[in-house]
Amino acid sequence: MYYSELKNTYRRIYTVSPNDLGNHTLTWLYKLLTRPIKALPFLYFVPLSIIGSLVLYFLLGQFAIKLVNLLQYGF
Amino acid sequence: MVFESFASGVIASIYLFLRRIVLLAVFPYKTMRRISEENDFWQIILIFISIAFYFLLANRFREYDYEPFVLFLMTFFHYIATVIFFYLFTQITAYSNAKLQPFLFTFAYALIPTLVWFSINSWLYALLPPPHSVSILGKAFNIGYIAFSSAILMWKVILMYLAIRFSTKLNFFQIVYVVILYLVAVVPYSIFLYSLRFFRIPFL
Repeated sequence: MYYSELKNTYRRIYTVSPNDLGNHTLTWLYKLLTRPIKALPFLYFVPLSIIGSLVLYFLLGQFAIKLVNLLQYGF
Repeated sequence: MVFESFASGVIASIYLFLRRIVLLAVFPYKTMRRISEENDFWQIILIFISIAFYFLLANRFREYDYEPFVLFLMTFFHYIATVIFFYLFTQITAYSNAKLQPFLFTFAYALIPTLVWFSINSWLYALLPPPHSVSILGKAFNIGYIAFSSAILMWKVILMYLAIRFSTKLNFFQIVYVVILYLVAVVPYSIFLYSLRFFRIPFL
């Protein structure tokens, strides 16, 4: 039973071949950036989006207000 | 007996559907990989029932120019068109043995962030309608709203990428090319829908 589970897990892992971007540095950078967001991505998304929205609001205040109004009518 | 097995099948699908929504937020990579191997079509039906329910509810908050059923049919058409586009691209270019089933499941689940954003947005519209004041609370709402929308957008981008990756099995650069091609078709189409007052923001 454990063997078949292990076999299934490995089969699932290798359903797609690992990404190779053709350049060692690029592949390393890709893996560095994608590894953390494979699990609990909101741990990164939430602080990033809060910082982004603060920057947007303080740099382009009026634009941010217009954007919110546009998005709120967007549903 | 037949009804019992049918009912238990549907209940199991509802449980899986709800569980996977949570897991897509917590472990998007692993969950999307599992979804790409799925064969329980009830889950796709449940996703579209939720979307239909959303359109009916949102129509109560702010009446649409078109019937909610028309908007639902258009959303379904967008989903099918997206699946066919990526499936045909895969057939033509790289991986000719690709099955259609992973496309159907992964792209259906990739609609979850859209559904979440549209649902929360419609409730926010009903509870805190625009325009907002320039008070400290109004400013805080604006910042919070942009943060919330961008976090959901990031989630959507990740799920779309994973949906394409696990269904097409293409590599990163091939995915970038196919997404550019997809956007070349989708952006003018979205503007066209906006001009006809179907969607202000397309439900994709």
